[in-house]
Order: sequence, then structure tokens, then C-alpha cells
Amino acid sequence: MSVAAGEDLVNMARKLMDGFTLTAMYAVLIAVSIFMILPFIWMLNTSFKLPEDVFGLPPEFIPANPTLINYQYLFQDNSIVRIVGNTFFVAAVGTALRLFFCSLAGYAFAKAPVSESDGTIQLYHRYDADSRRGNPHSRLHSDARVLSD
Amino acid sequence: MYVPLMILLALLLAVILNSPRIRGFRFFRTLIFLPFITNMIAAGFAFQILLNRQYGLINAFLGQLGLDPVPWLETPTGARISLCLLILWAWLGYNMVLMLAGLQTISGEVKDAARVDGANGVQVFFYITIPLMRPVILFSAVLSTIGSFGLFTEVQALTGGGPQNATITPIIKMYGNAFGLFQLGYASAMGYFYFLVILVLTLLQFRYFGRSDNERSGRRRPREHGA
Repeated sequence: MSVAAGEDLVNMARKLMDGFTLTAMYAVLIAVSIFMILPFIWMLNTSFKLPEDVFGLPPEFIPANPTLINYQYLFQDNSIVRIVGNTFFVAAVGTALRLFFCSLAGYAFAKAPVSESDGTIQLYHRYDADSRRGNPHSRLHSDARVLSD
Repeated sequence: MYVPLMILLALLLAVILNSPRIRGFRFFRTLIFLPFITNMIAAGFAFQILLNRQYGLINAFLGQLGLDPVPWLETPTGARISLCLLILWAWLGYNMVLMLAGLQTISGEVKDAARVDGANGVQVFFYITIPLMRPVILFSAVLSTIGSFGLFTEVQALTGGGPQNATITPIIKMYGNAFGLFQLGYASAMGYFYFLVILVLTLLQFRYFGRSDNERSGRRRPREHGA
């Protein structure tokens, strides 16, 4: 009887500890997430504030006088077309050139004989061969194998 | 200064997220990784607004708790702490994902074996997880340290190297000399000097855990040793 009660007590304590650990884990996650998301939220609500309200006291989480004027400026500003256009230009031309030249270089790497003198190709082939062998020199790998053997 | 803190936090978060009992894994992982893909200039200005001495949200919050406003960006110590906060904010997610990848290469069977032998959760963590994670932790630490030498955007957007040069970094100094003072020769010399410093650090990295490239690339799956 008393032994069973003792076991119950131990089980209860363990459950309590488990619950506590889980709560603590969630607490850490949520605290860090708030820290991570705060600047994004703050920028969002600042974007709905008038210039004179941005540095208002006390800081407001939900603007008292929300305004769309900042977004209105954004779309009236003609430079936005230029800015977005530049981005698209760089993205398109960059991708096209990269595809062209990198496929040429990739072909060369795949076909070229491995020469002792060429450091770059050597390096590439060595890493490639290592990873195919499963790289016995890798510390992570060898440790894991020792432990699982 | 922030590297050990960042490594510890990243490891803690990765271990928490790796636990099967936590729900919303994707949600939390995305939230914590989000700052890494954010434009650092925008983030720097957002932090400036948040940390503003008079009007910032952080000081308003501290005021609610009855604390005096902290001069985050006006004093050398405050500026250093603010910069650490910004870097932590931006890079924690990246390091956490590295650690998560490392944790997932640890075979569950190793842990199960330890449990069968009577190890409790804490023991499994310190005698199985930490030793097996060592290469990843080292990689993360060295990469963060080398990255610290090259800090530019974070500093420029938040403090500009001030106050009183408290948060100056090699690249900020170089930039100031080259384009502020037009000491192009001096700036070039500095550039080569920092190149040598970083080269030495990188060679040390290669020497001490040479082929970390393979470990990083994730080609090895835990199943390899599982069979």
C-alpha cells in the first residue's frame, strides 16, 4: 500500500516536472519569437503613423490616428517604377549570364582531367570523392560510427 | 562578445525545437529565421526607432516597469549592447538552423541506446548530444567570429561606428578612411592587413576541422550509420 502510494507520488512528481519543462520550453520559444517579430510589427505600425506621431509619447502600438498617407506617397513617387525596374533588370540579366557561364564552367569541371597542378579542380574532385566515400576523416562521421557500432 | 551567447542560445533553441513534444515547429523556426533574410539597413533603422532614448518602445516599456530610460545608442556601452542585440536578432536564426541540421544528423538509436543503459535526459544531452554536436558548434563559432571582423551593414545602419568609436569595426574604419577622409592608400593598406588576419583565422579553421564542408553539405544522412 505504502509502496504503491510512493510510486504514485514519484509518477506525479515526474509528470509535474515534465509539464514544467514543456512550459519552460514554450516560454523560451515565445520570448525569443517576440524579440524576433517586434521590429517587424513596429515598422508596420510606424508605416501607418503621421510623421509627428512617429516619435509620440507614449509610443502607440495601434496608432491613434492611422493614416495611409505614407503608402499614398509611395505610389505617387515616380522613382518607385525605376527602383523596381532596376531590380528586375539586375535579377533577369544576372540569372541569364550566370546560367550561361556557370553551365560552361560546370561542363569543364565535369570533363577536365584531374591535373595535379590545378588547385581549384583538385579541390573540387577531392571534396567530391570524399563525400562519395563517406569521408572517414570527418570527425562527426567517425564519432557517430564508434558510438553506433 | 556576443558569439558565446549566440551559440548557447542557438543550441538551446535548436534542442527545444528538435524535441518531438513541441508543436508548431515550422512556425517557430520561420519566425526565428525571418530576421536573417531581412534587409539589414531597414532592420538597423527599425532598431534605432525601438531603442530611441526618449521615444523608443523599449524605454517606454522599461518606464512602465519603473526603470529609468537607458541611453541605448548614446553611450559607448549602450551602443555596444544595442549592436549585440541587433546582431543576435539577425544571426540567431541562421546559427539555430545550423544546429538543427546538426541535431538531425544524430541518430536516434544512439540516444535510445544511452537511455536503455539508464541515462536520463540531462545525461543524454551532455554525454551524447553535445559531443556529437561539437563539429557543428565549432563551425558555427568560428564562422561567427570571422564574420564579426567583416561587420559593416549592421554597424553602419545602427550606430555608424559611434559614439566615440565604441562600435567601430575594421570595415567601418576602412570605409571612413577611404570615402570620408579620402585616405585611399591607408584604406587599401588596412584592407590587406585585415585580409591577412582573416586568412590566418580561416587557415586555422581549416586546420582544426578541415573538411567541415562535407559535414555542412548534408550529404551524409543519419541512415548511413543506422543500418
